[in-house]
Amino acid sequence: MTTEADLTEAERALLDELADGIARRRLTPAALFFLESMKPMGYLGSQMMLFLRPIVGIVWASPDRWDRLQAILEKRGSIELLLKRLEARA
Amino acid sequence: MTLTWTAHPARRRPDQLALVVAVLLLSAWAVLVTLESPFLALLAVVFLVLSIGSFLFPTRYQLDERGVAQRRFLGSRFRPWDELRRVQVGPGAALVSPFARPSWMDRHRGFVLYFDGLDAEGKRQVVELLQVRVPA
Repeated sequence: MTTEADLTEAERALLDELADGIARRRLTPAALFFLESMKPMGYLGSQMMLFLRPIVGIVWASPDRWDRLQAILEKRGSIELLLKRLEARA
Repeated sequence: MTLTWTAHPARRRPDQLALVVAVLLLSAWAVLVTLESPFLALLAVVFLVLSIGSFLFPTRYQLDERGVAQRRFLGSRFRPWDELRRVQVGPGAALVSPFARPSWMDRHRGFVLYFDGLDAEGKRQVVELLQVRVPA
């Protein structure tokens, strides 16, 4: 399982930013429900993001955040770290 | 300070266990008669048993310096104190939640600590520890 210590400073900052964005839009309960139910599919989600990367590259000039998020999701248990951030903001 | 206890309501309440068994048998029979599938009848029983696992199976709780740990037949969970933000104490159990405000995911993301198996002094110690460790 991935812990906070396994993430880099940039990855932790990205998760914080993501959780802040969700909380600001008042989507925390919906995001919690979605992430909790999709938790076992985290790795599959990261591979789907990888598959969609060429299309995303057309829409966004520099999708580095997409790549960073994909790299985080690839680590098993990383969704739990996002869930804990959302809990703290709920 | 470490507090450990095992809650197993089914063992201490045979009258309620008998009711549970009756409901399980009735459900299995209803599924068997209506759907004519022994497999689905078995599946119904499995789902029902899993959904009342906290009543049927022993749950071991441990509160220590690090946090709250819960172990049941299908796995174990642990959360450190700094992730827990709210405690609600009821007559038979305490809810420890990672959410500062009441949430419909309280039970799922937090813990329901059943006092079953604890005497009055044990219950007092558990409540006191929870209230000290989890800020109001």
